[in-house]
Amino acid sequence: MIRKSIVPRENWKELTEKQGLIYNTLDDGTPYWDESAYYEFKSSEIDAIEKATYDLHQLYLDAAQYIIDNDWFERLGIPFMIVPLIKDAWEKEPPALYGRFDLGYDGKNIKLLEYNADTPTTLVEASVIQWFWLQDLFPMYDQFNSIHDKLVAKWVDLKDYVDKKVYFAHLNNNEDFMTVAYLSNTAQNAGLGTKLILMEDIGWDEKNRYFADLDNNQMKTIFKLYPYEWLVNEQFAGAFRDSINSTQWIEPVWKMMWSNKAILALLWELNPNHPNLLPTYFTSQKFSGNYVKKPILAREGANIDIIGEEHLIASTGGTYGEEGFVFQELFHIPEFDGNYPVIGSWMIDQDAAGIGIRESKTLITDNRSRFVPHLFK
Amino acid sequence: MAALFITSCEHEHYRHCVDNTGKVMPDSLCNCRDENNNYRPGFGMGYMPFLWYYSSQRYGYGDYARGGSYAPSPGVSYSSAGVGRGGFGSSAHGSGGGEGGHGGGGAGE
Repeated sequence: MIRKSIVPRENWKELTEKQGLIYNTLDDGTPYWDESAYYEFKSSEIDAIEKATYDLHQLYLDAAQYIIDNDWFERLGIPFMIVPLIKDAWEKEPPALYGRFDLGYDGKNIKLLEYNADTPTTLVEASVIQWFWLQDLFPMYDQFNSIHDKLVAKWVDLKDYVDKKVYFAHLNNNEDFMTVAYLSNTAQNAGLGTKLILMEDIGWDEKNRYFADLDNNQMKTIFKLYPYEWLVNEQFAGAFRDSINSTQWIEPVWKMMWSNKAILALLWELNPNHPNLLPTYFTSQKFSGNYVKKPILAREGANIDIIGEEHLIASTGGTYGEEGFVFQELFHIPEFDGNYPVIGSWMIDQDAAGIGIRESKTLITDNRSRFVPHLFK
Repeated sequence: MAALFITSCEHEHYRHCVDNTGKVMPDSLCNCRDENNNYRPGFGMGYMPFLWYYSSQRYGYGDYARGGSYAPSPGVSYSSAGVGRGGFGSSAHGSGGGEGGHGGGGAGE
């Protein structure tokens, strides 16, 4: 993997906006979509990333079964009232669409940093924007990216298992809106009807005991870009539980087992010395010096401390950590001209589908990180 | 005038679940109460600040119900106030629901 600097396309901003990336600039005016550089891989490196992604997926499947068989839910901070729903969903295998492994890669080792299995974003830029960038500038090369085709194919597979109208529920901000708008487009391409709705506009029809859209029609299949750890602690949590057999939620509720950093400690416990895992524990005492302290439930890179040689070398603030922390061995992501890339490797259902790269100026990937395209030869 | 008369004859009465400030809540929170706001058998181990509230006016979820009573009028049939909204979305506090993009996410090195 090497990083190459290039001159951005003159009209990159207008171009990427038209392609759907309406959030292509950070709040401080610097590019979020950063095409002043790209990462070039060898095909053997892409093969290795793809293999690691499949291997990690299998480890997560095994870990989920272990959680269920050994009643590990309390250690994951999952409310006891949700546990029967998770067990039931795991057995029934309702539709699951996607997830994104965040990987560190130093050219030799591929290590899992975490798995965003419930509400991953960077989808539009990974699936669409970097693909058009490749076609514009390097059509002779390839890109590890079949995300769009696999999403459409997955919806085609699901046609007989979901309602003919799929609702896409989201919060009121540009990135979430564009993510669900794009996903709904992939569902439409598969011949499904779709409708977007704000999470706060989802209604609960008490008389009929179902979730209802703004026209009070029953919502039978709901894709939600909204984390379960929030959803199950809100006012409609009881309604969610009571209607679980009449409402199909994508992602399914069993994803609560995966979208939780406590599972990183379990993975290490079950697969010690696995080449794609970093040692992770519930205590820092297992480490002599270098580790990362991560909240079990957190978002946007919040509340993370990096300890190097027993000293705090990087830290982010935030309000998470109430459920506890895990401690993960520090992985030395290589620096490229002052930038630290993290590879987001996408799973569409059971298939490794492509990667997107986020670059940071600091050791922690947070809300100032930029998306940088890639290609391989 | 005829239309007004018909409307008046068809006037409905509504049952709302309210908290101790009168704010309309999801009906499920009042499931521990019978129609007269007594605890149903098996409930009442702790104080539940939710009561049925009867009104000729239909209030939406989150509204403050006024002008009615906590006891149903004899012989009057009440219907549920309908579809409540706002039960999801309160945890976001201005952030996104997704993980890892423009809004940030992940943890490197």
